[in-house]
Amino acid sequence: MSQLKHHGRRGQIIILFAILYVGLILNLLHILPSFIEEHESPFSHVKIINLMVKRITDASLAWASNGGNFSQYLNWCLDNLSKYYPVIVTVLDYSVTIKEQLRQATVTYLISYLPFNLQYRLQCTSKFQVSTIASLTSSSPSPSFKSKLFEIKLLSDELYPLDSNSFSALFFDGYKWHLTYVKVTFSNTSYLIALTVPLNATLIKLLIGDWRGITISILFKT
Amino acid sequence: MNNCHGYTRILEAILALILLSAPFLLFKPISPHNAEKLREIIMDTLVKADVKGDLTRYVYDEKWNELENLIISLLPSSIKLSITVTDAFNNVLYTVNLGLPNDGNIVVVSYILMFRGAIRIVTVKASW
Repeated sequence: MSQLKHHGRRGQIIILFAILYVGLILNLLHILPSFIEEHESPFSHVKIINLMVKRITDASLAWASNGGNFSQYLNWCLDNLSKYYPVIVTVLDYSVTIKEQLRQATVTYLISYLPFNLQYRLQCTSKFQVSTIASLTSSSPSPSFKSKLFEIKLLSDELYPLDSNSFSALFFDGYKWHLTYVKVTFSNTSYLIALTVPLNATLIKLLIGDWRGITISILFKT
Repeated sequence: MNNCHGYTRILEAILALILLSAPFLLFKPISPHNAEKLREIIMDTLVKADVKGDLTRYVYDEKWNELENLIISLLPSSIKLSITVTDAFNNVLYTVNLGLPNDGNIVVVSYILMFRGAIRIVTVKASW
């Protein structure tokens, strides 16, 4: 009888240990992930922040290329970014070039990413450049019109689909500007822009934009 | 006979152990570590989607099918997700649920765009 009692106690002790074992596992399940979390890599976080900041630089240059104020737009974007992301971005230095055939902005940022207590510098450059290779005039099938062909090359800081660029043209007849149809074809590494204008057209303005909205207008005498 | 009772206790102990452990083994919750891994996958996907500007163009040109296909093509099929695009006033411009359950552990990643004077927030919610 006493031997039976002894065996019963042993079983109870084993049950007690089993419960303690489960308790230990539960604790480990809670403690281990938080321990691992402390050693998370901020790499993906930094990549997505850097790309958003690059897009802000692009958007600010696009704003400036359309006549807006670069730094005002940049600050508006950075203020908004801080509302949605736990990040503080400060502009340390910037330069903007708005020339006839060149749009370029270089900005140096100081980025503080709060969840990882990270602080680093990032330099972003956005660029869109048009170079004219050739400009040809020929007679049109219609006697009161002439045909123009422009060969241009586009340079950018990023690779993007060729069909994402937009082209349009205006001509000046001595009184006002008129929109005209353009036919664009891509040849090797350059674009061929063909258009027809009346004989009395004195100026042609080519408007070229990339997918970011950075635009360049080039004026040609006919 | 007495030995038999002892073994019964041991068996009881093992059964108790199995019963207590089973819920944790069968219903493995999304641990913070798994959640962070998933968050990294979603972040990397959004970066890949916009590295050539495709995501930005689809959002601003409102090409929602292209946007959806782009994100799906970059993610493993085992991930359930929803995509929502909102403006600065939280108006929903586009939303799609691709098998994401309403409850459970969900990871949320937002990508902010500010082109043409307009804010667009692409939010991806995902679960394993």
